[in-house]
Amino acid sequence: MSDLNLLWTIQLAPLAVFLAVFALPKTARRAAPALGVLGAGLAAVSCLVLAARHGASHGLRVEFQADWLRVSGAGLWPGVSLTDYRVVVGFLLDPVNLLMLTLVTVISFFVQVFSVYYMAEDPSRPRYFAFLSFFSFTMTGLVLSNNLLQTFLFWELVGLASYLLIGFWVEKPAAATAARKAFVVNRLADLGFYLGIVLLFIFTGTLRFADLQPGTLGATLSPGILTFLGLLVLCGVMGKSAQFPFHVWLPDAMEGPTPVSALIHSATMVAAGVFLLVRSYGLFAASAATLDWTLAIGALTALVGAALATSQRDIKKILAYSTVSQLGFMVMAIGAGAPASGMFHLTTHAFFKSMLFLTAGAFIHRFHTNDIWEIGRSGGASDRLALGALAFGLLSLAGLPPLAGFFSKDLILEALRERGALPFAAGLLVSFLTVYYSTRLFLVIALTQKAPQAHGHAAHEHHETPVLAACRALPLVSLGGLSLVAGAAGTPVLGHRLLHWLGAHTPHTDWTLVGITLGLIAGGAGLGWAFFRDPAAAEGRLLRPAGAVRRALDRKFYIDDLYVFWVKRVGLGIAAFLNLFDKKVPNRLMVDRTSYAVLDLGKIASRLQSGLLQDYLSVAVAATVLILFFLMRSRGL
Amino acid sequence: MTVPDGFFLLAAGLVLGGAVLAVSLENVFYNALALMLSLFGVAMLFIFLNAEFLAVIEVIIYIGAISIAILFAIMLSQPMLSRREVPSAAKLFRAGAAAALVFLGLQRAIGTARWHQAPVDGDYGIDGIGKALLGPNVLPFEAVSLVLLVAIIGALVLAADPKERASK
Amino acid sequence: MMHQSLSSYLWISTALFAIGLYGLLARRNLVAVLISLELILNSAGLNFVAFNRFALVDKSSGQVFMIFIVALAAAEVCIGLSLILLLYRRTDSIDTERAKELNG
Repeated sequence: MSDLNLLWTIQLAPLAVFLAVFALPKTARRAAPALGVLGAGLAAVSCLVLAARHGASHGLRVEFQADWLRVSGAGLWPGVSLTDYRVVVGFLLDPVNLLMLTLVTVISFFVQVFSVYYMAEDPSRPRYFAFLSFFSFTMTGLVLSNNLLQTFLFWELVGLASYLLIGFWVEKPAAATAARKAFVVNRLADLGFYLGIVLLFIFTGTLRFADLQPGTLGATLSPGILTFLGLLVLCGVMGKSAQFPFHVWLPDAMEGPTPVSALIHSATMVAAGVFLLVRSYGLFAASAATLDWTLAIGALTALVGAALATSQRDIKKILAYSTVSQLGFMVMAIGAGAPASGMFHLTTHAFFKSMLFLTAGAFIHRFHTNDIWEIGRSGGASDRLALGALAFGLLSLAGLPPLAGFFSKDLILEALRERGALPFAAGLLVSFLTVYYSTRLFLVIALTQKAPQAHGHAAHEHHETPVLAACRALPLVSLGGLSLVAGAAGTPVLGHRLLHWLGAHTPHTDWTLVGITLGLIAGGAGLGWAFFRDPAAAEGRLLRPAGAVRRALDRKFYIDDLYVFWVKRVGLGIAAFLNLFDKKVPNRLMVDRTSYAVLDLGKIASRLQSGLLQDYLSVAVAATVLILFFLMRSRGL
Repeated sequence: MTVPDGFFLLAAGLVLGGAVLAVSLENVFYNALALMLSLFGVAMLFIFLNAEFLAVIEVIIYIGAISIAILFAIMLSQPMLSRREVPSAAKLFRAGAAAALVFLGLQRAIGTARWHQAPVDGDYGIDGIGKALLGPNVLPFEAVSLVLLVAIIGALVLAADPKERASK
Repeated sequence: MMHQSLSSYLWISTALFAIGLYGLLARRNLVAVLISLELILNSAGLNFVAFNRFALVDKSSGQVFMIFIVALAAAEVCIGLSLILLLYRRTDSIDTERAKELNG
């Protein structure tokens, strides 16, 4: 099949599944899981075909586009020179895209398979699989688009899919609130994004990624404007990729089903922001100030996320904050001028983070609790498969060689060191904290003594059919393997093939950096071991009155409180004031007075209609006298 | 002042004085009587104007029939001694102003007009009137008689009021 | 001579008209209003007869008109009085300021 047809398949197969599930009659909807897996599988296979076809070539760049709107020689804004305005729609295929596409389709497939196990007892299964497929459709659309406007369209659709999936369990009010929060925070950030798109279009007349080169942009626009545009687009990235201060929606999004978190909130959707950064790197690179801001925001996010991950009890929340932190890390990489490294880390992170979430899902589904101490007490350590996958994923997250996480993280640390001492220090601190909380998570689950069966919800044996057990195991194993392989592609072992393919230079192996990293891992693990060697005691320590640091951590650095303050006090306060003002001033002065004036006028006028005979006669006589007077005046009398 | 002028002034005084009394006396019965006085003055003026037939018509029909009918209505419609409502000052002022303005306006118009005078001699007699009524003016004559017929029938219908008679 | 000048008759008729107009607008009793109306009619008739003497060649036109006026005044008084009687039967009053149901 031609490239274009493959792209259409990748794009439309999940959409077809989505429509099909809703078109089926209620009785036939039991086939929804199978349809979902089928659609995702088809998309994944098409993508792998594309990857096989183009994986070896250099300079891959295939673009299919159609003009949508074209105006020549117009000036949309005073002061902007006349330009040709052009809006297009189209597909783009280049190494970054293809990598991201592979990531998205493959992880989607495995998540669909895992969902067959996870949602086996849920009555709303068909809706779930339909929405999951819808998400695949929108995400691939986002990845494949060749211009900012189309990206924005799918950006919003992805947000919609996320809302539908977070709030999937409609009977849970917390889920609905979290879905709303996610959507609203995203929308707020997208305001900046859209403004950036509009302004960019006005100033340059085109939104195609191919046209966003630092050279051409710098030639036509002033640095100030370029920085401004870059910051606006960065706003959108901040919303979607949960950068500080728009990160507040991601932990709450854990209210949705765990496979959803695995797919959307660790690997694909939140990575869309980073993907956009890489895609439109031309725009960001055109202004050094934008990159500085990107670096700063990424660093802040990484630190905040890592810090908050160290104090959570809920396994999903730990992983969510870890995702926030790693996203910040990726953004830092791009801000430091190494988009290929950022993309690489995105890939490895996607694989092992989704695997970690699926592991969490496995634990949650079997032991019916999210709390890590509870999982341990219910016998988490006895679930070999899940525990093994957990260990594998956490080691990758911590960056232990020769796992994938090590290579991608090291590349980023190198880029940060080249950038400056402060970013490097931030990166080191984030790595240290990452190791610490990973150790904590593993130790608590693994070392907590299994409680006697007196606990109400002990791990009862699910009577899992072989199919379900396979659905549970396959994704975990596959993703684990993939994270290993994907990491290898960027290593010196395979000659940095991935990086070359992405267009980056060959990094030289810096052994001092490797040594520093290993030292960090040892230090963080040691600290975790010291604190959590005895998880029961650690839990006991949690119950002591909290110091200021722990209180700040518990309140998530008061960011949510700040938001609530702004909305409730300031926003609603202004609204209340304006309401009062509206009642007192325009309503009373203008509207009421006008109506009273009209009424009074009417009352005066109605006196003419008194019903009295002689009043009417007087009016007639007066009119006659007036006419007489004017007649006589005109005759000169 | 010659004697005819004196009588003229007497006639004028009757007309205007009677009119003033007719509109100002409170007792409406006196108003009707003052009307009769005024109409008598008008009849006298008609004689001055050589229209003797008209003077007689005026006395017989206007004073003798119309005013008597008014008197009947007065006596049938309210007791003579009760319920004297006084109009408000604003109303009186309004009426007076209207009357004054009209009078002044008309008078100025009349005063500045040059009337085309014709010889005073002529046939003022009753045969002339009769010939005119059945000659050139026969159409309005017939029309007026129709009006009178309709008026009489109408008055009878209005005054009959069968509902009230039935409910009583 | 005063009695042989047109203008003196016109003066009288104008004054009579004004007095009648005053009574029309000022009196509260409906019958009094009717009486004032008669005065106005008479002033018009007086005008006709005066002009008949001083300005017309055919000396019967004005008088014929006066006859019409008298006849029509009679018809009008006839109808008017029966209406007043009806009103009196309905509302037990012939005050002009009572009858204001067309008040708007």
